[in-house]
Amino acid sequence: MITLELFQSLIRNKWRWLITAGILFVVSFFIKLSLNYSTVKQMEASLIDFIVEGLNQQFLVIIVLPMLFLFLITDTLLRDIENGYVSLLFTRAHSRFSWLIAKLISLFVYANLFTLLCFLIYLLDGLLLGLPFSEVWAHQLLQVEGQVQISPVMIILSSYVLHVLGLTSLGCW
Amino acid sequence: MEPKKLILQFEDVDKRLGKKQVLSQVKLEVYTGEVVGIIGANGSGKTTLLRLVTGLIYPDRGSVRVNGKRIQPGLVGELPERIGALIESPAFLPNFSGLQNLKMLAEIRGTIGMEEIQNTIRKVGLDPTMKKPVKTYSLGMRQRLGIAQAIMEEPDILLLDEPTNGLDVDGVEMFSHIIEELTAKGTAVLMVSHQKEEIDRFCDRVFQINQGKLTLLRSKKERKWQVVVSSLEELERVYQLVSSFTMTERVNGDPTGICSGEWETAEELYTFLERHQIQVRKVRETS
Repeated sequence: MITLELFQSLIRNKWRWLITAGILFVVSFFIKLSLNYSTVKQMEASLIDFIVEGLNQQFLVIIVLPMLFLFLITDTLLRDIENGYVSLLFTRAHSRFSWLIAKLISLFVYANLFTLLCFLIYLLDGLLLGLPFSEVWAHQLLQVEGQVQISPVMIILSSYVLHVLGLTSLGCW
Repeated sequence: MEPKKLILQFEDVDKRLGKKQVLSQVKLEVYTGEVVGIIGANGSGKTTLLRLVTGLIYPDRGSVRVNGKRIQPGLVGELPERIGALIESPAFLPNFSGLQNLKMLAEIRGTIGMEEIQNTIRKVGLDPTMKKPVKTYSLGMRQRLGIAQAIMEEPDILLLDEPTNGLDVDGVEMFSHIIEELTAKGTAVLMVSHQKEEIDRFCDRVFQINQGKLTLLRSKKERKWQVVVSSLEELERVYQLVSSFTMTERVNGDPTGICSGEWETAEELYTFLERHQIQVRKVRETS
């Protein structure tokens, strides 16, 4: 049931995924502007700074990313009913609950895929912009005191987890 | 032959969808091995009846029992088992082949393997090795695939919504054989349609649904019979006796006609005509 649900959503929503990727690509160019505005002038922003800014910039995190995710998953529950697929599933499922669980698990997988997509697009865009790769922070203004000592990889990982949990909760709601 | 067993039961079912009372005090019993048909206009509640059996929706009042077990409302309520359904035109995954679609559906229950799926696809007249994605299928091919998914797990109850929609003559014949085969094994079939011919052809008992109420139209399947008699006078007497009788071309020079009725065997009709002193040469069922 879960495999079928994942296949179903990806195939039936392939245009939405492409549109979402396109919008993210366009949006990611504005991250560079945001970085230029906020970075300490003496230090050049790195690829890591660019990705972290992309995953943390307030306007993106509060408005753009949730909107795009909702655009992707908006018909998750109703799709089966509208296209008549639900009768094929319900005559085989053990209970309605197992159907719902499949939907919730697929939401979690989509939140992962979506966040990964953001990460990859920011990475690609950062490379296209010719940003240097560095393992140290250049982007001081993004961090609160104390975070400077934390490895950038850890910051990205924690951002990733936060995004996945936040988007899954949004989807469930 | 095993005695018929009650397998599906609607007990005083009421269902309202929005402001419309779709079903009202519906009582229906379906037994193993029989084909029950429900005829009604568009929007009369036929599909709602089928949806109630799948557990997709549940009654406002009354209950639906499958194999004696009441379909429970709510999220944790178990869904009925061993049901096959073709309700409206199912939207299969368009980029996958018919075989891949059925394989994914079969994996949910996990009761049949690749061989059974392929055999079912062959049974409905499609080629299981065909790689074409479903999006390139014609309406008839999709309907055949829909029938295949409904029957592949050999259900106890088969729910069909306008099953011959889009099928050609061969397809309807294929469907007829499938229904005969399944009912012989004891599968109960509940079929709904707005086409009277479709229901008349396949169903043993026929109900009409109108303003949410179910009324019995016919309690036995009407069959078509060819009657060959010895003279035109005899033919005239059959004509007067059986209201549906129409004259057709002679068979081997003997006057012949066709009638329809609820006789279950040729012997039954033969006896009936003999009782009325009609000299019958031959009686046989015809399509």
